[in-house]
Amino acid sequence: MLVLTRKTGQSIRIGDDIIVKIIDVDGSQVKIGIEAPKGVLIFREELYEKIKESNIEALKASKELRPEDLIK
Amino acid sequence: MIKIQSSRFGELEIDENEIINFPCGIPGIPFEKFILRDLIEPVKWLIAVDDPDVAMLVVPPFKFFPTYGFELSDEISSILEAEKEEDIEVYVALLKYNDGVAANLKSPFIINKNKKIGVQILLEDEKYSFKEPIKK
Repeated sequence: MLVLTRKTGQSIRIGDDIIVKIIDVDGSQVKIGIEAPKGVLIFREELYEKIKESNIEALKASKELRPEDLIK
Repeated sequence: MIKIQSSRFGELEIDENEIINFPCGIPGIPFEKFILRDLIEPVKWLIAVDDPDVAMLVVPPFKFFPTYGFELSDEISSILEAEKEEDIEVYVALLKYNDGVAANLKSPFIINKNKKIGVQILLEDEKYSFKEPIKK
């Protein structure tokens, strides 16, 4: 993993079109601004993992669920 | 018309015009092209075109959760190329819940049915969970 040190107001550029800017630092919290092109969705990592887990669970459930239970 | 063999659906005939493109991908699923197929009203299959054995059950949430709702950000509307609300369909994935069924209300699939573009979004709203039981 690349590790960079930045000050408030400074940025990091990833490729041609993604900019990550340090907006504010307050104790252990860092406020980050992200500019990315349309089509790049940005999620908090732990929530991205939850969406992923839920999708994988849905693929598995589709083999076991009885959808007719829904329409009774 | 494309014909694809799958163990779950047998031979699937797919019309190019029914393919929904998910340009941002779907977390955990390495495909971008999907189709929707009716199972039993209101349940549909969301099936990956490149591997039809990758499929999940989805339903429109409003029938089971009448107060469900959210506002689409400009960013998502622009990805969907949606101009009006009527272009948009919403689906949520079904999950198992004890003996019953639950839905993932936290990250619905939003589809522009005319332009065939889909996005899975994440709702910040605390009242929606990844596994909300559906009452029969």
